[in-house]
Amino acid sequence: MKAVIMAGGFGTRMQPLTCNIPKPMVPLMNRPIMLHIVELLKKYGVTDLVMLLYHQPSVIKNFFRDGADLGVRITYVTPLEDMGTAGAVKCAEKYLDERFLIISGDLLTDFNLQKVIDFHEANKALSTITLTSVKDPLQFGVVITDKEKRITQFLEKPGWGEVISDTINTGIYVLEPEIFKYIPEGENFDFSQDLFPLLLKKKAPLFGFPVKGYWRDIGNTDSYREAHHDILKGKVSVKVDEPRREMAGVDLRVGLDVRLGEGTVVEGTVVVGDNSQIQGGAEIKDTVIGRNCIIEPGVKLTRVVVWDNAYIKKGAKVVDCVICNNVSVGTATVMEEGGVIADDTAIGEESYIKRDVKIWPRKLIEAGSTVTGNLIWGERWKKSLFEGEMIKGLTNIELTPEFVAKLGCAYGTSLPKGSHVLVGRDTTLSSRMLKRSFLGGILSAGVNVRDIRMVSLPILRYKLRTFGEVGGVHFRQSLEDPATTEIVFLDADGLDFSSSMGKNIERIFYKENFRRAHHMEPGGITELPQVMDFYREGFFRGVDQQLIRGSRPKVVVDFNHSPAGQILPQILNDLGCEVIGLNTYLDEQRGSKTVDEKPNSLQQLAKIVMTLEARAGFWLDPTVEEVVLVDETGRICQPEEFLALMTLLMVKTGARGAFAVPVSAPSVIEEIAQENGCSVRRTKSMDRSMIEAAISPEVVMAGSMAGRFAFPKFQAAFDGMFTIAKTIELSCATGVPLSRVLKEVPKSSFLQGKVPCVWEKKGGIMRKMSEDSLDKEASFIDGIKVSFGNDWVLVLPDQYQPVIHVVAEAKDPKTAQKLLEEYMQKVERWKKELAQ
Amino acid sequence: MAKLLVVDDEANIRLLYSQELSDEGYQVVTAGSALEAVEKLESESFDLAVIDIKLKNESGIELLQRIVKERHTIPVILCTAFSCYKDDFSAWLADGYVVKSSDLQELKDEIARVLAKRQRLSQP
Repeated sequence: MKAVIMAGGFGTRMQPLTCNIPKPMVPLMNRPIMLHIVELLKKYGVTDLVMLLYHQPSVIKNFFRDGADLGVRITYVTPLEDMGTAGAVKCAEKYLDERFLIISGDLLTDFNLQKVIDFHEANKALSTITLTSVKDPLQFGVVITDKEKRITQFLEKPGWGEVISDTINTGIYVLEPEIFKYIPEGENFDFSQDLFPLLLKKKAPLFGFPVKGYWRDIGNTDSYREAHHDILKGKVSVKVDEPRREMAGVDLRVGLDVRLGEGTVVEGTVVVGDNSQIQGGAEIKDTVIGRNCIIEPGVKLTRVVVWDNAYIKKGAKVVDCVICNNVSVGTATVMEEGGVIADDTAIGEESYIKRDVKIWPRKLIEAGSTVTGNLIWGERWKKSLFEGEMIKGLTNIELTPEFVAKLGCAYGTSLPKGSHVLVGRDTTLSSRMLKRSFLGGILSAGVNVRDIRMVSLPILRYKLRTFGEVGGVHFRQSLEDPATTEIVFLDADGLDFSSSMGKNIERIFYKENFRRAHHMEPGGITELPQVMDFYREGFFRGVDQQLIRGSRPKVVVDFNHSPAGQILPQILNDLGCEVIGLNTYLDEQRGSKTVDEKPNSLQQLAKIVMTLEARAGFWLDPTVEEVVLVDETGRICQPEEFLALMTLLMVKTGARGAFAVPVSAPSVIEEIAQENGCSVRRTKSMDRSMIEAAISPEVVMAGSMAGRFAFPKFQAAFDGMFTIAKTIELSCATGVPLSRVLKEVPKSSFLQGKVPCVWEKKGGIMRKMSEDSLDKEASFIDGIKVSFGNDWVLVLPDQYQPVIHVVAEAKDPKTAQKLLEEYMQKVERWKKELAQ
Repeated sequence: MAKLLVVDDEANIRLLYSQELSDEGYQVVTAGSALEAVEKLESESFDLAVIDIKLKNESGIELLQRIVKERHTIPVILCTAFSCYKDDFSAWLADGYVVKSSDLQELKDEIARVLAKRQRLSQP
């Protein structure tokens, strides 16, 4: 008697358990599922085995080899293509010259196979199908037999209306070699779909034999966990390699070199594989632990399957989960029922893995994260959704439509029922796709949406300043990475979200505490077609139209395919400018330009400005907030020069009030302002801090160190379009070329550097910097800025990147360079000291 | 005490608003026309203006535009019997929009909201 073990499946429904190993090799009580099948066959004297492989055959071959170690003889057959179940067996025909049994390699059963074989022989059957009764026959093939157990009908995966029996095909068959006459060669042929119906039709001796006992198809991760529960409860008996250790009231099986720490509490049935350590104070109940695992004190494992080389740190609590190979679970992490953590994943401390979450291999879960959804494609699950005012992630990988819809639910829940939000996007198809998913989520919470479709961020902000909406959201592609989508959240005043606003949404998102609108009260979507006209009107009020018209300036603008190309050229034309627009058309397929293309674009812009003898050139970034200025000589201004130039232009043309600039801005701003009776307000580097300062009535301009400007008389928000118009207006008002005004800017040397620094050390570096600055004149608005007379240096940890910024300014270049180098070296030295 | 300018062409409404808003602790000055409102704005300083959109032959929205242009620091609440002006982009220049009702609570709440916002934003 021979047997064929079907072991070719991909195990797709078992993912992520089967990401790295074929399904028959998934461990069940620390042994491959298929090993239990081999032992079952051996128990009934079937030792001549044919293994039918297909997916990852080498893993199976390397484990079983020729079978001698197990007391069986194994022949491997690997069809070159998917032939179907019967078609694959046909490939092994030459090895099957006597009666043989077929069984799946992913079953857990204790059936008495001898009874099936005896029945087959007694009835002189060509084929006998082993049958069993199950509670839920829907997902299996139902088989109907007559009184003689001849099969009369098959129903493959029936609906409840079709169920006329609870007797199903178990996938265990006894067959005579004559069966091969009915299986065509080289064709995809299935036992249930093709062969058995054919035998039925031909009235061949086809029998079904019902068997009592345990039978489970381990087809998905739930079934996998339940199979373990059944073994641990004693519903089915399987061989366990680890020997039993005497302990009253507990079924404890312990492998070689296992250490069980003092005070470890063990309940129910517990298996611990070779060389694993359970340190004192852990509580382990009905759990299987693999080899080379470390379980630290205070860990609680209940109904958990742990594979090999896992490291579960102090105080972690895990219930009814599967933890695969090479996984580390951080201190005090909590994992709810149904979780699966695939190979090579690291879960940071105090994380919370919610019910039924499956994490695919090689993931990094940041400490303190709450994981609410399956993590499949991205590399990491972030602790917090928000980075400042925005949520960013890889399009369709991290930010998927389903993720974003949930985000919309959370955002909608945070707002009053029946309120309105304003939503817009950039030109790309990705932004459009994700925005639409997001809208569904908002509407489900009973919040209305005013969709202004493709629009630049400054226009969205401008509308938000008025009544009607409680917030705004803008979808755009990242400049740094075109594969990344950024979702920018704005409050009711058009300001960037504060961290507390983001936290509120995160709380709702992670707890999934969504407000679902009654079916009669979901939100509605309306459009606001007049927003552009409203913006245009305000824009004209904000500039001196007559002055510009009188000068008829010629300017070149690179619109970068941004939505600004739809509105700004017309506005500038109406103001009397002669505009040479570059990249004005929208390109949904291509999206915006990336950061890498910027230097080339600027060079081209500079060349065009000179060729056309234009008054100025402007490079507008795709978010329509940032501007790079090129003067009439083709010189590309650095952002800090542009800031100083704008300050000088403003005071020269009579502006009086305060200028809001970040701590890192050059001190020439103060020089320019103070000489003209104006003041300077230093703010943190965050956009929101500058804009909050800009709202104050006395502030006439806020300027960042990245070419972003806000003019509160028009709107207290960074607006690249208005910046361009305002620069043109100021240039016309002074009546001299921009290059000449630039020459009037007091000279200083301004240098910036970056030192890479891991997050954990940033606090330590700043502590060392504050200690170092004790006897110096220092300010602590944002980072630590130390002054040496008119010269200064700023050490500023980046908010979102593992980087420390060092900025230095001095009257002469040598001093600035010296200061920059000195402090960059200090940061490097402190890093080393902190590592010790 | 915040000083409010209430602009409405109906004398009874001016009286009603004046009394109700005074009871709320505001100092209230009223104007019956856009012209009168402009005169008062030129001679006195206000913390907020409440403007009716329909002022006999004048338009409250034009008055709003004038205030925004010349005194952009004074917040304006439009107060009207018609909700349709909410969709008129000229009305969006206002800081608030209240549909007139016999219950003045909504107007009072809106005044309080806009003043609080303005105060919050003007803090350095």
